[in-house]
Parts: sequence; C-alpha cells; structure tokens
Amino acid sequence: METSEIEARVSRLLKEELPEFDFNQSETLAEDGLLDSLTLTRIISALSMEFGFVIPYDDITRSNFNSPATMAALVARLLQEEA
Amino acid sequence: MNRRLVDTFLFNAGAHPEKACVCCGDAVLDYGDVAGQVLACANALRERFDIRRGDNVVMSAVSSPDYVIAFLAVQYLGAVTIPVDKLVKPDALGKLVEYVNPKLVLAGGSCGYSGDRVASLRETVRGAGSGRISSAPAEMADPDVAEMLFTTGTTGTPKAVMLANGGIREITRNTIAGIGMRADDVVLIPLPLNHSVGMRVLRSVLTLGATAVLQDGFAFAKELEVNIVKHGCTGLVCVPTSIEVLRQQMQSKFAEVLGRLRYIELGAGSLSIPMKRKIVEELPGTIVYNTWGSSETGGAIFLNVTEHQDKLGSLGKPVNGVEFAVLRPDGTFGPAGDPASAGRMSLKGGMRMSGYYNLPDETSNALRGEWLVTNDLAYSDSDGFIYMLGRADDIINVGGEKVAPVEVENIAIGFEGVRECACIGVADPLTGQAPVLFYATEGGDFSESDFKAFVAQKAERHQVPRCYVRVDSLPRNRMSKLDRKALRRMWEDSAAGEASSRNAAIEAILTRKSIRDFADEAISKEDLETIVKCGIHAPSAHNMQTWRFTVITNADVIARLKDILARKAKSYKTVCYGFNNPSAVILVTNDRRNRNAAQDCACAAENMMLAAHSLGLGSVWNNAISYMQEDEEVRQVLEAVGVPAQHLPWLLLLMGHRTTADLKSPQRREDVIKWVV
Repeated sequence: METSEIEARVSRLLKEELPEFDFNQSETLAEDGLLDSLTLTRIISALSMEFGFVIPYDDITRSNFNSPATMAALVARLLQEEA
Repeated sequence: MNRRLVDTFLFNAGAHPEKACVCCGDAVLDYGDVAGQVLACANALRERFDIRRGDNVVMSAVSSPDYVIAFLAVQYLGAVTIPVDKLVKPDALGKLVEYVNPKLVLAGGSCGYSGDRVASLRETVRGAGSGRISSAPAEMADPDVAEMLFTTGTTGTPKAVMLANGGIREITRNTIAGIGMRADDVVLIPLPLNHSVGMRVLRSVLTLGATAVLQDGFAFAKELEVNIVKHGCTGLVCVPTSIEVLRQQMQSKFAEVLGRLRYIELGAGSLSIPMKRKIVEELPGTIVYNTWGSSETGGAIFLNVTEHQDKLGSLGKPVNGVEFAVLRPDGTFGPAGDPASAGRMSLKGGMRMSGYYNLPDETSNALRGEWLVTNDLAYSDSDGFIYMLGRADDIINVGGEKVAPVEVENIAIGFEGVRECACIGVADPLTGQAPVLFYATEGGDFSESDFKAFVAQKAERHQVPRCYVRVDSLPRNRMSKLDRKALRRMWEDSAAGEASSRNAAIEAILTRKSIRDFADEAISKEDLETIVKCGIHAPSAHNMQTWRFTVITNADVIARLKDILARKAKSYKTVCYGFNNPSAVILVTNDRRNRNAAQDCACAAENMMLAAHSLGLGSVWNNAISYMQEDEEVRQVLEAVGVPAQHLPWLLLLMGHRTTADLKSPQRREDVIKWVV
C-alpha cells in the first residue's frame, strides 16, 4: 500500500470512528496531553481492526500518536514489518 | 499539633534534604531543592502579586514539580490554593474565576485564558529561583479554609469544597493509615492534581517525607513502566478504568510491570467484582486497595482487595477515626444493617470539609450536626463493611419497587463477553420508571438474546432492563468515573429514547410467546391490576365495552375450570391443550347480544398478554371454553364467580411467573404478508 493511501485511510477512519474529536487542534496531540486514555483506546482499536494487526506495547508512545500523520507512519511501518 | 502540611514538608526537607521529593520524567528534585524553590516562589508571590493570608489563588494543576512548588508556596503564605484542570477551556475557567474571585490565576502554558490577574505558573516558579530563607512571613491559613477543590454536583454546577488545615491533616492521616503508606514509598501519581484523589496522595507523600512520581495521565502504559523502573516505584494510585487500559496495552507484560509494586490504590470508583478477583490473581505479590472517597472527605473507606476476598462487593471499612451511619427518613442518623434499611451514607470525623464556598444551602444540606451526608445510598454488614447501592438520585423506582443500578450491573457483568455496563432509570409510561442497560462487549461473537436471557433469569422481575443499548464504551469524565448524566443524555437523544414507549411496545410484541408452564409463585395484586387495566384499554366495536374480566386466583376455582375443560373438550370437538399450572386465570366474557363479542374479547386478550409479558410474566390463551358456552357445568362455575347470565365466555387467559428465560418466539411465516401498492 502506498503511503498516501495509508494516510488517507487513517484520516478517514479517525473521522468516522471519533467524529467528535478535533485531530487538527494540535500537531502534538499526545504530548499536549489532549489524548485521554479512552480516546487513545478507541484509536488503537480502530487502527487494529482496520489494518488487522496488534499494535505492540512498545509502539504505543506519545510520539507515534501525536497526529494522524504520525499514526499513519506507524501503520505503514507495522504493515511493512508484517510483510 | 497545629502544623500545616507545608510546615511538615519544610520539617522533612530540613531533616533529609537529599531525599527525592518529586520526580517527573528524568527530573528528580530532592526535598532541599523543592523547599528552596517553595520559599523563593513564596517571596515572588508576595512581592509581585501581593499574595497574603486568605487570598484565593487559582492554579493550573499541571503534573509537574512546578505545580507542587507553587501549591506549597501559596500554602506557605496562608493563602488558599484552588487547582483547576490543566486542560480547562477559557470559558469554563472564566466561570470558575467569577465564582471564587481569586487574587491571582497561575495558568498553564496553553490555556488561552487572559486577564489582569493571570500569570504563567511555570514562569512564576522558574523565575523565582531558589532561596533557603523566605523574607515573606509564613502565615497560618484562615481557620476554615486552606484549600479548595472543585467538585461537580448533581446539577452539573461546580462547587468549591473548602478544606481547613485540620481537615487536610485528617484526610492525610486517613490515606496514610488506610493504605499503610510508608516514608520509603515511591508513589506514582498519574492522576490529575486538581482532584481529591491525586491531591490527598500527594499530600500524604509530602507529609511522610516519601517520594512522588508525577505522570501526565495513564493513557500511555509504556510511560508507567518507564517510571516504575526508572524511579523504583513501590506504590501506584490510579482509577479503576486504568487497569483495563494498562492490561490491553501491556498484554503479557501487565503482571510483570505492575507486579513490581508493593501496592496499588484505586480511587474514584469501584472495580467490578470480577475485575477485583482477576487483578488479585494476576498480581499475587502486590496489595490492591479500592478506596471510597470524595472531595468533601478525602479517602475515608478502604478495601484491601487482596486480603478481603469474601468482601469484594463492599466498599471496605471506614478507617479508624471515621464513623459511618445513614440518614434515616425521620432526619436522625443510625446504623443500617441490610439493603432494605439503606440510606444516604453519612460520615463523622475530623476529615470533613468546612463547607461549599459561598453556597450556604448546599453546605447545610451536606453538613448536618457532626455528620457529612453524602448522596450515596449505603448500608453496612455485621463486620462493619459498607455496601453501596448507588447514588440516591440514581435509584430507579419501577412501579414502587426500588432498583439499585448496581444490582442490575452486578448481574449483567457476570455474562461472559460483557466488558462494562451501566444501568440507569428512564421514564416509562407503565411503571413510572424502568431500568435501561448500557453495555460494551469485549469484542468477538456476542449474542444479545443470550445475554438478555441470562439477565432475565438472574434478576428480579422489576430489575430486568426494559431496553438494552450496546455502546463502544461507557461515557466517563476526566477521572474516568462513569458519567450517568451523559448516559441519560444519550438515552434522551437516541431514537430509542425518543420513542421509548413505542419501542417498548414493539419489543413486547416481537418477543412475546405463549408460556404454558409456570413457577409456583403468586402474581402480585398490582401486576394483575395493571394487566387487566390494559385489557379494558383495548378497542371494542362501537366502543360498547360490554365485556367482563373475571380475575381468578382461587386455586379451587382454577382446578374446577381445568377439570371441566380437560374432561369435556373432546365431546365438544375441540382440545384443551396446555392448561397446566397457572397462578391466575382471567376469564373474559361478553354480552351475548353484542355481535362483535368475540373480536372485542380477543383484542383485550392480546393487550393483557402483552402487558403480562412486559411485566416479566408468562401467559397463554385458552379458548376451549368458547366451545362450551352453554355447558351446564361451565354455567355453574360462571354463576359461582358472578358472571351475569346474559354473558358468554370467550376465553381464559392462563398466567404465572415464567420458569424459563428462553423467550425465543416461534418462527413467523413471512409469506402471509402481501403488499398492494
């Protein structure tokens, strides 16, 4: 899958699954403390189901969840590792 | 005796300045560092902002040493600390500021709030530097208030809880005693520091001369591990929902990481009983506590989950120095030894708040004599363990029967695959209120019909939810506490809520089935009255209402009817099938001159069967009697029960309590529907 395609899918997914959350309010969502545990849990389960992998514990970090772009990069890396 | 928290802290700093006091990320500040900064910050607050005894200071509760320093500095000056959520929106902060009228707002970095009384918390602390001596005088706080904590009341309007030095000392003592905290503990606090739980643990750490590790939330489980390992944490204070978040992310490392801790305290909510069992099994070397507390009292009731496996349904016992009673309907206070006598939980002890700031009515409602009256319905067992039934406002009145949400939730959570659930009461046209269950599953296959059957089988009839709503997760507030108000809004907003009565009716119609075997249990008079009332509300041709409903619970009369019908059915070329053991029979008759007698009776019968079904009862229609309307023996019975001579019997409704939760309706033929459009 192309990187741009992954980015588009992640953005669409986040918009669908968490319509009430503004992902554009900051480029460092996690570092600003804007992702509470329930929001993060919903993001993780949405990504896991959409792309069919388990996000490893060591990858659930603030830097990977700061923005839809960093999340897409994480997804791309995990898909590549799987392949 | 009169020593304040900040005095004890400074004493500890003098006794062991090199000991780690507050850690955050890679930073480790020892007691000497923190004390120096506290004194310098106090000077700056006095000189730059003229902060004096009794002044209110609102501060952003960032999870960093800056907050701890500013908090202690304000306390040192005898002023009042009022922490607010670090993510508070400017509008909300404006309202809080209007309410408590502070002399200064120490704001977080990106809070977006501006005004002439606002300064940056970080810059105020960092700019003050460090000094071992303060030129500003240490002052005792006002006797009534040293700190204020915001709490959200049932109306949703924040109230500022005033805590005096004496109360704070007792709250601290209670937490230390309840958990058995020690001076050598290193306690990880990933909770917001504007809430009661985080603050009382922080105060306890500073009082003991122990070490606090601050962390911004528990959303990223890895950060907990890093902190636990790096700082050698021995204790963790968190909220119940955090456990599931940590477990999901850590997976197989959960037990290894959390197992390093000497203890875990879970506050601001109860772990469900299965969750309590599970965590104790997973962490055999760690003591798990679940604490009941409030902003008004601090942590007051402690359950050692590891030790009291037989009391997992309880909140635990009040710590020494805290007394429990319930507020009785007559306004007096006394013990309550069983659920039936449960009342609003009331606590006595030095840990009580002084009142709600500028809210005299709310204060006198909560502080009565020596007691603090909570809004939680509770009772205690003979060993002194306290059990909570829910918030007094949350109790559901189902046609006069009181249902505590927790009773329904405890049943529902026992069904495999249910991850969390919550029950609320909603308006119901039939019973006034009815329980509705919101639930989230663990994922994978889940049969809602099996779930419903499971609950229906275990629950009392009035406890059975009228409606089930599946959600991804339950709404929670910033403390991860269940937000029942949000559930109520969800219900009202949902189509199901808007049309709840219609949906309940459709639900009843689609799930009703004939029940022929009944439990050996009488139907209550109220239920029979409700059922027969539904009967007379059926349509009748030309609104004649010439029918009669004869409600028979007399076992001899029922046996006689059964005998006649069973014996004579064949001679009347019919069958009497399924007349088994009803506890009530409704005989429906109609005037023989009414040409629509049979149709009217049939409409009424269906109404009554649906009503019975809605009430959790079973029923079956038996029309053998319509074949023997003029039979001599039948007429004798009719006469004996007072049916007028001009009336003909059309049917018997046999009803009773169900013995089975299997409510699967038989297959319906769809091919009987034809559309002409």
